[in-house]
Amino acid sequence: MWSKRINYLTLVIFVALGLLFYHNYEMMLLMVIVVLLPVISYLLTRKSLDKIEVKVDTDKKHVGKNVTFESIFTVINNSLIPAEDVRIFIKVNNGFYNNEEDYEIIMSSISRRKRETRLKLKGIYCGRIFVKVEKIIFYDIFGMFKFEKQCEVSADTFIMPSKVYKFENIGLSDMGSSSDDEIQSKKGDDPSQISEIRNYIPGDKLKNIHWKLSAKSEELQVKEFSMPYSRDVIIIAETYVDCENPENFDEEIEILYSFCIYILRLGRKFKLVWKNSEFGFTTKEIYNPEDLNSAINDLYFVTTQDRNGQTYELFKSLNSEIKGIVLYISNKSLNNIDGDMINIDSKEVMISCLR
Amino acid sequence: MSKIADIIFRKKREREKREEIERIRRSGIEIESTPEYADNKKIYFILTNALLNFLIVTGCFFSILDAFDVKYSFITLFAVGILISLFMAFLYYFNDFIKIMGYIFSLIVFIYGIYNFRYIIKGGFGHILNKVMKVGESQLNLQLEREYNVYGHKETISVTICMIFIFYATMILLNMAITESKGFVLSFLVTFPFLQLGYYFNRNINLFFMTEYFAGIIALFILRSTNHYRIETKKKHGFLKHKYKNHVTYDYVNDGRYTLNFTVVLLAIISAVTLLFGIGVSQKTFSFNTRFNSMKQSTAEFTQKLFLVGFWGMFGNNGSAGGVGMGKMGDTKFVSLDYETDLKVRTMVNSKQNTIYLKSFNGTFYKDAQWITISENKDNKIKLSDYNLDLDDVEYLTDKKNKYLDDNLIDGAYIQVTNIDATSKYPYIPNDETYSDNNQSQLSEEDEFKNGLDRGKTVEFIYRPLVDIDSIDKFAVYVKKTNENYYSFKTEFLEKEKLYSEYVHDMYLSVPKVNEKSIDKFCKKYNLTKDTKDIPEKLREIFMDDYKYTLMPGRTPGNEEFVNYFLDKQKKGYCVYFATASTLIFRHLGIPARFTGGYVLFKNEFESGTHYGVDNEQLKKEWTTGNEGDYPYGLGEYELDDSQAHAWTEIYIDGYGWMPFDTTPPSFEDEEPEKDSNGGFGNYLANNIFTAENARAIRNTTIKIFYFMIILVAGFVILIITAGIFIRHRRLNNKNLQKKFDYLCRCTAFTGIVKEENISYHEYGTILIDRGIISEEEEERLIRIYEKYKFSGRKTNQDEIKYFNDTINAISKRVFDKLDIFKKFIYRFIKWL
Repeated sequence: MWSKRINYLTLVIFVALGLLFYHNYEMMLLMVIVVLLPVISYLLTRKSLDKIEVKVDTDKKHVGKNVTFESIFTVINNSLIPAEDVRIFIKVNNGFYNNEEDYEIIMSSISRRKRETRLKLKGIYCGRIFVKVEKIIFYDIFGMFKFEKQCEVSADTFIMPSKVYKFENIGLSDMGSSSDDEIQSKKGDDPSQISEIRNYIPGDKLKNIHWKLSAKSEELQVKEFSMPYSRDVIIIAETYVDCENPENFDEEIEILYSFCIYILRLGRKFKLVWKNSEFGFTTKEIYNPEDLNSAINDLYFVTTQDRNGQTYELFKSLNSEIKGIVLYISNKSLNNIDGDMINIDSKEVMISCLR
Repeated sequence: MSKIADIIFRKKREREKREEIERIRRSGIEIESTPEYADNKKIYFILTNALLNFLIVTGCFFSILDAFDVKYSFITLFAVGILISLFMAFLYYFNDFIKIMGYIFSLIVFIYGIYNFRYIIKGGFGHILNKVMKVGESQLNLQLEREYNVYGHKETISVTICMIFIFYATMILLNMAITESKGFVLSFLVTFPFLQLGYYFNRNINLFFMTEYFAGIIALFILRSTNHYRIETKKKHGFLKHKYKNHVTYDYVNDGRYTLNFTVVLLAIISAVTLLFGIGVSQKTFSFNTRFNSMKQSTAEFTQKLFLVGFWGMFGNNGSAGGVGMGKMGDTKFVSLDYETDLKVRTMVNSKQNTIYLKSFNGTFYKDAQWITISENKDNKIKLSDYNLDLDDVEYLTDKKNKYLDDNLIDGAYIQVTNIDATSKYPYIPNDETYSDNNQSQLSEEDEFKNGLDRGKTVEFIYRPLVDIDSIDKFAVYVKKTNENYYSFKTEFLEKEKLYSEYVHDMYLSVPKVNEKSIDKFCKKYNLTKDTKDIPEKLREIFMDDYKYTLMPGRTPGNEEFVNYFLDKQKKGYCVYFATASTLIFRHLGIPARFTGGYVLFKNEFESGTHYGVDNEQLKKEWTTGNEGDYPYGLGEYELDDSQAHAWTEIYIDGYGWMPFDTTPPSFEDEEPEKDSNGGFGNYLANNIFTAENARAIRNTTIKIFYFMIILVAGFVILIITAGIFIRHRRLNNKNLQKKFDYLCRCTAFTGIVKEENISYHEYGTILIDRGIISEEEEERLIRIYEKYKFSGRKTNQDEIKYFNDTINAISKRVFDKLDIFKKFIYRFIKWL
């Protein structure tokens, strides 16, 4: 802006010199023109301040990861004065992570027209991509005067999970907890519940061998787990995000989604729960994939935790209030979970059966 | 070249790439492609450039034509202007090849048109220049030297056609500047010097055209100052990308539609202001403090010279040694003074003495506007010997005048003359010289000196200067009486004097026939006859009253005689004009006279210079021959330059000899260029810009740059060819199969076969087979080897590497053989394939 002012000033000086040299009507007229032009330009642009607005939109509301979508920025100029340097200040971020990206698009705006520009984005993590225009700055036709206008317009797109995880033999059963001497014949889906002890069949996993009983008997004995069958299955999602390693939380969301789909395929309804405040959970009842998608969308609006394990702590404090089978999905870095781990193929994420 | 850049910037690119990956990882957001700008069509840029070109060129030239009342067809020029500007702008619509071909075509059409219409174009030019020169003549008080030939064409048609070509040429130039760089400075410098002629000469300017021009120029200025114009010509991107920490800016404001919109809005605003101002303040009622007129006045002399000699003539030296010389007179348009010291003179000047004349040459015969000496005139039949006289007699007769005329002479003084930078062809002898130390006063002919004074040399004279003489006639009477008294006993002497007088009267009274009428008319006009008293003084008065001194008299027209033109019409000039005319007038009136040139130290300049020993008696004794006399300035040291080069008349006084008589009127300060004038834009231009040294420097620099460019281009070409040879040689036996395969891809890409990412190697090989570049057998083996190298864990053996290398070399050769000569050159020496 200052460089343009200086440039214009040099123009004025040259015209003034011309006036002094030629000393005639035409030079005087030119002097009047060059002096008046910035004034006229300023007044006209100021008057058209309210007539310039910007809108933002996205072409897709739900996309998968690494799928391109467009953010469309539209500058609408209903005034008679064109504006050259319209600077749109954009913030783009994934709602889960605070790693905001700042962009600025400089475009021109013609009088009585709208101009569009499209920015193609893709999200590599699940979440809500939030595109916001905070303000616009534009200049008069000579670029010498700056006008700022606050906008606060935004649009978002949901990046849905798309990865498929396989889960093996996780059944849901009725009964309670396990002990070393318990003999259970009922198969179930509670990893902490042994439903049966049987002889070892080649191919069984070594970790399932019940060593105490095997020592007592002369053959290897293998635990067969079961889960107490319950009407209420509750899946609690830990919403702690490590901004330095966003891929961990992304994997958690993916696994959460896959696991929920798996549960649905087992014919079970469940509740999806996450911490929404210091003392409370948000609970969503999931009967079908549409409910799940809706719940995931709502999850994308969550305020993430700044410390790992806060959801678990809240669960423990509200333990007596929560009835049913409770599965907790979190980062593996969280220690001292009072529950059994469900075997899933993930390096960072674990599912623990808390009850 | 790209490889060198790649090596240099590789680390930077890798670092940037890593940072980008990390940024994407942390934010989870990737920008897939840069913002697209759907509406930014090229057509708008084209139209904007055409509009700017049109506004500037037509605004400028229509203004000039209207200002000088030149007749032309406005509608034709307006329509042609639109067409030409659009045509020029559209050269950039397609690709570079079409642009270049378009320019070449334009140039051919232009040259063809110029040649075929050359006379009508010249006629048009003639009409325009005649009108401009007429205005310049009256405003600058110049001599109209010439009228341009219009070849019989009518003004309207010839000016219109001429202007079409001017529009064409100007628009070609400005189109390049406006499109490629929004060249405000070039556009302004090309057009404003012409436009401002109307302002300079206070002509009535058409405000509409003025508005057009300034709207275009201001729009160009603003668009240039934004720097966004560069994006217009970027081929790959339509934007500029800046990155600062986490903030990325995509700047592609150079919107064609916007620039067009902006130009139109600006034109509308300026037109509105002009209209309102024009209504409120009419053109004639404008008035400003006249004190500022002096700024334009300071360029008047410069502009006069520019009009006289043209642009290139400003670099030349059209004057000679202050305009004084023995060459043809009337050819010099103006006198060019360099103010460098020519002579140094040391003497003591008496308070009563007259001007000191340092004589260099005489002119005896006036022929074809030139003074020639006795020896140069082959037709001369009068000889000294016919009068029983020789050169020694002449010297003696002219010397003796100093001895007895005590009433009119003052004590002799020594005078030293040193030649610093004057021509060494001539001597520089004080008019009243009696003695010199190196016999420089030896005559080779009665009117000619034998020896000149070499540069760096000094000669000393003793001279007895004359006091101011009021009347030549009275002085002549006094001389006669004195001679009668003092020489009555020297009959031989008196006889010789009588003979010399006869000789002088026979030799120095001739007037060319061509001048008789004008001189007679002049004398009748001013009542000058042979019996008029005090003819010299009267003539001096006439010239002072009715004639003007100027160093820029202009050239005498070819059909006019120099003296006649001066006396009858011109009535202004410098010393040569007055001295020549006076000499002929004196002769016509029976007074023997001759033209003399040299240097002069006027009486009013005695006070200048450097002075030593005022009232120093010892010094006075050393530098003067008498004991009396008042020397108020002591020993004076004077530096004479061009401005003191002078021409005067010598008239013969019986019994005395030749006396200098100056009829040149004195110059006034505003007519003569001041030596050390620090003010004045015009003086600055004349003394610092338009000088002969600058012209030589420009010429030498241009030649040097030209040679340098040739050497640079030649060196570059040799480097490219050498590098290519080296690289090709290294590549021949390159064992790196990846590089070799890349090389194969580049070879085939040259012929239009590009290995796309989404096609397999075999598919690529199939395309090569189809094009006849490779056989099936070769393709199969080549691809197998490459795939083995690329994907399998097993190493390729030496035979396979050799086969791979040889086959690709053979393919390269096959591709090369199929190309035409031009492409072969590109293939080998530019692409280094």
